[in-house]
Amino acid sequence: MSRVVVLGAGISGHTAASFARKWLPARDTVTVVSPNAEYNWIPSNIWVGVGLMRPEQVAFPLAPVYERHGIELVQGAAREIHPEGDAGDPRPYVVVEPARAGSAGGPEKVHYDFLVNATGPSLRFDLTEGLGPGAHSLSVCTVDHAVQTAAALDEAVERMRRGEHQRFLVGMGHGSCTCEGAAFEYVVNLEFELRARKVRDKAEIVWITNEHELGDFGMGGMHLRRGGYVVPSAVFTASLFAERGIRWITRAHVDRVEPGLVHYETLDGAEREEPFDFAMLLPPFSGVGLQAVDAGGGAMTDRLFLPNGFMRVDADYTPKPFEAWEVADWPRTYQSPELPNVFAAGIAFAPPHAISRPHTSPTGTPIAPAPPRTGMPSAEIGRAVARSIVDMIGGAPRPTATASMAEMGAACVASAGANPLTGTAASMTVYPIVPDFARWPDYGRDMDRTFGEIGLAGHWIKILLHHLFLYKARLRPGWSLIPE
Amino acid sequence: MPDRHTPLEPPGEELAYVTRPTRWTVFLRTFVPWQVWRFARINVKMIRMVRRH
Ligand SMILES: Cc1cc2nc3c(=O)[nH]c(=O)nc-3n(C[C@H](O)[C@H](O)[C@H](O)COP(=O)(O)OP(=O)(O)OC[C@H]3O[C@@H](n4cnc5c(N)ncnc54)[C@H](O)[C@@H]3O)c2cc1C
Repeated sequence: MSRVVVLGAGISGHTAASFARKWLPARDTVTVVSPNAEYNWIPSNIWVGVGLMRPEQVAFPLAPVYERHGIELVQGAAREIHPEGDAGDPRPYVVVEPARAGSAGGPEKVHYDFLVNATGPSLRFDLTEGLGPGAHSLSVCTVDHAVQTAAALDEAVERMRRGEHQRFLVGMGHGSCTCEGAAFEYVVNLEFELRARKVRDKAEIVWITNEHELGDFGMGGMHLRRGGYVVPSAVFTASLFAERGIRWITRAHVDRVEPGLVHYETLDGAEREEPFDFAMLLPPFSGVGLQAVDAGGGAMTDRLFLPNGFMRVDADYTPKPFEAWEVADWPRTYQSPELPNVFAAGIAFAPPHAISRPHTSPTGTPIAPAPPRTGMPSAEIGRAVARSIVDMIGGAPRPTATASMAEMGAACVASAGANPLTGTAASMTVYPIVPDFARWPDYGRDMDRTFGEIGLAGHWIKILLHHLFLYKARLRPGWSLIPE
Repeated sequence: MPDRHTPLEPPGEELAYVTRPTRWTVFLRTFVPWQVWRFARINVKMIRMVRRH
């Protein structure tokens, strides 16, 4: 009997656990450790944040789903990994703190034979003074944040209905943020919603980003064939903003948020300010701070994790200049180089380098997006990790499945306004996610497989995906046939 | 003294240099018969991308 333990029930962990359970015989156990009682389809938080969806439309309780499918749920947050067990018992285990404060049991040991770290990001609002829902800005990273943001939007709309002008500031709350795509979706949905509520004329909307150019999205942008030219995504993004009257600030590191005022540094070293009435600024990410402890009780965290808290996997982490980075540096199996029975999936794995060119201001502030790990690759990685673990339990000496972001394409639909007849979304495919300039020297991507267009069809697809992925996550009949 | 929201683009003139869609392009974006066709095409493209992986 083998015991597979998955830390985190987000897109990646839930996918890994579901496939491991499907593929393993009943004698093997699959356990998910999650501090949340609910599964959240995070991409649709955008619509909660503009008041178009309710929390129960984007989240559902995990326990009944796991019970039906024979997956054990431990409600709590993993804190320590003990890969060598301890002096009396060499079996590896994870220390889990119960999710509910005051819960009777105290920290619990969860033993594993195979471990998947799919704990996603820690939302580092603390890295920018005054950033975040606990301080002076809003977010849509969690359902609760999105609900709070929707309420703030309602208030702003009320003020506009009374004749006041409002300044909306949306974007990235730090120079090292990732997830530009999510904030981009929010700003265009916000603009659409203000029009729908007939107060657009009272609103000024500003996009603030750490990207060097618009449309970079942490993946060095992309190029699309259009009208006999190969056009960079910066052109389409600027066009989209200009059409909607959204102004923009690029190359910015937000270093302080006060009530109604953002302070930021730009790549030229200048310190600037931007006033706002409503600011939705996403935080930078780090790993969740798991600690690793050896059999003697000594720390071994730095052998398993990078200083940013993300887990080392089979990537090449040798520091190199940007030009020397190769696609082969990117991980393929997500196995820990130290521990063959430990894997990291989704945002929890440490990328070997940025995809967008790094830039630093004259004062030494890095201002460039970190590499994104969006939903589709996170789920693909979860599934590949599950396959490898199942095969290793069956006797395979090493991981059998790969899911390199340098060999994987992504299909992405970015909502630009939600309405069944007047809404639009940008539908994109890009191959590969990490550009491969050795194979495609001009643009780093296969132009036959990279495309994008905006229209109502994209919105219909986005709605379809919302329902399809929630159906899949609920593990309803045929769930495994729905692609990641 | 820090600048107050000075480096905003496009404050006016820059707008002249931004690519904008034609009215026909904007019309097609929400013209249902055309979008039904695009829905089918985009789905095929996306499924192909997922299958190839
Ligand atoms: C607002 C928003 C919109 C987005 N829109 C899109 C989109 O349209 N398309 C797209 O592809 N991607 C989108 N993304 C990105 C996408 O949500 C992520 O790529 C994806 O969620 C990553 O999956 P993950 O499993 O790695 O992390 P998560 O989904 O964040 O899951 C991590 C899980 O681990 C849990 N956890 C944390 N700490 C611990 C611990 N100590 N022990 C146990 N569990 C722990 C967390 O509670 C969480 O449930 C969006 C992201 C945001 C924030």
